[in-house]
Amino acid sequence: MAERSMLDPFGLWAGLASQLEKVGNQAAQGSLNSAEFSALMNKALAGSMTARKALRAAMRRYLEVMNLPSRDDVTALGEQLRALEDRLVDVSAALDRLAPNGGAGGRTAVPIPPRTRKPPPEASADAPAASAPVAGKAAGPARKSRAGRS
Amino acid sequence: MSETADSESIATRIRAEVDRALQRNIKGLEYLGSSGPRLGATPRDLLHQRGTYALYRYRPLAEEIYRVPLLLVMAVTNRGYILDLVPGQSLVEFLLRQGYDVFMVDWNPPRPDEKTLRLEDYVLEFIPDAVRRVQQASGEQEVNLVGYCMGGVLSTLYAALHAGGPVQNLATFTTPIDFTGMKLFSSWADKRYFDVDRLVDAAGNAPPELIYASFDMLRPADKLAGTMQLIDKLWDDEYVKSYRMFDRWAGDILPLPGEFFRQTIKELMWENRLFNGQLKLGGRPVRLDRIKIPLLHAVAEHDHIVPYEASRPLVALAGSADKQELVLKGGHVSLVAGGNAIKRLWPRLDAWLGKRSI
Repeated sequence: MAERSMLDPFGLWAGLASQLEKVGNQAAQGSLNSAEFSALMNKALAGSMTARKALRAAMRRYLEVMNLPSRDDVTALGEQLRALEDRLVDVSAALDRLAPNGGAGGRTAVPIPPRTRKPPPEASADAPAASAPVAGKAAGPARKSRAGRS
Repeated sequence: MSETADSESIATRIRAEVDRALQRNIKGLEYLGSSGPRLGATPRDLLHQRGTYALYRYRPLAEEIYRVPLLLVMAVTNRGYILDLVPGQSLVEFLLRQGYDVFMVDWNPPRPDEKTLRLEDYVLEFIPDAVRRVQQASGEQEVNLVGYCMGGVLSTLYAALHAGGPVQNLATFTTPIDFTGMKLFSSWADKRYFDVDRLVDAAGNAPPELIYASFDMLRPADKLAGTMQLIDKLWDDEYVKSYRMFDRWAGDILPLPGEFFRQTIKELMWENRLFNGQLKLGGRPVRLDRIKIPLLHAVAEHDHIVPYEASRPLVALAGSADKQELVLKGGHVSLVAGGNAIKRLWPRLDAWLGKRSI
């Protein structure tokens, strides 16, 4: 990578971002891995779940009064549809078994080439030092993990 | 003479910086006004779909293909297009060009009524169904299985419970076995503080926001640092394209079926049953030493989601005579996608799998 010019304020910016990533993550590890953090986080989560449950109950009562279907009603309908879907899947699978060449289950939009491929000679041996760490640097933001969780 | 050269050099540098600053502004506006590259575009056919479970077959790109078809099993929390980003950066496309007949089990967001799905549904229903359909579609009895992250766990469980079955080779990427090795997740799911029953009973399915936040908190500075790096590199089209692909995927988290989540926390995380050999699915004990087929286990040196300590035991515990651990530079995602994966994992996977697929 080309050396960043001092005239480039973004050079300093990039350095700052890199430092933030290293130092910030390192500093956070201690706190995030503590029992205190876990207790606090789960307390907040439990509070949020309690509120969610209360809100759902209130909403259910409101929908009842308004004579509208609640989430549970819709879910029950979904379950019935799922049962129907499962039956259709079973029927479809039974038909596939009866049809030649796997029926619809084996259908693709393009012809399938012959299954005659052999590995090239160089692929017949596993890559050298395969069980040892391979040197080199990962490229792109996949290792910077907002984007890629690295 | 020297003074003249210095002035020219400074002028060139100023010009370059001004040009880059202009590019940042122009590209920045483009970034805000466009939708990013189209992901997961390799042509494929939906073979089967049932709620959260979907099975696809990719259209072959080689003139002849290996005899044994290849079934990819994606992680249940994420979308499968991480394995099929854009042409030139797609593992699926790479495998197709290398002559594999590629299928993928991908997951849709589970519906509210699918909150009851458990590990058993995935390992004893969905994957066996997918394997059966792959056999049917390919006309071959043997199938190669490749699983990523939690997809690797499901594939491993399936292989352990179907020893002597149709799977001919098993490859797993960043697959946790010893859940105590996932230190931060274990700490956050500490049973003294984490009431998983309350969460599942209240929410039904584990909300994607919760899963996203837990991934994000593993490296809390990454979000800000990543944005700062993006601003710096807005002039670089390739970087921006790559950032957008990974950013979109990382934010595209699926809910987890409530019972699956509860079971994962209690049986895998708290009791570490998979590692201890105490896990039972459908009343059958899961013993990793029953896996006798060739096994390739790829792990990332800098994986902060599934650290090496969590994934390391698989090769030791598997009963295969032909087994190999591949420790590669990179992280949880860069192991399978992006420039790092293209150079490191993909060719090694092909070299290992090709000769075992005839």
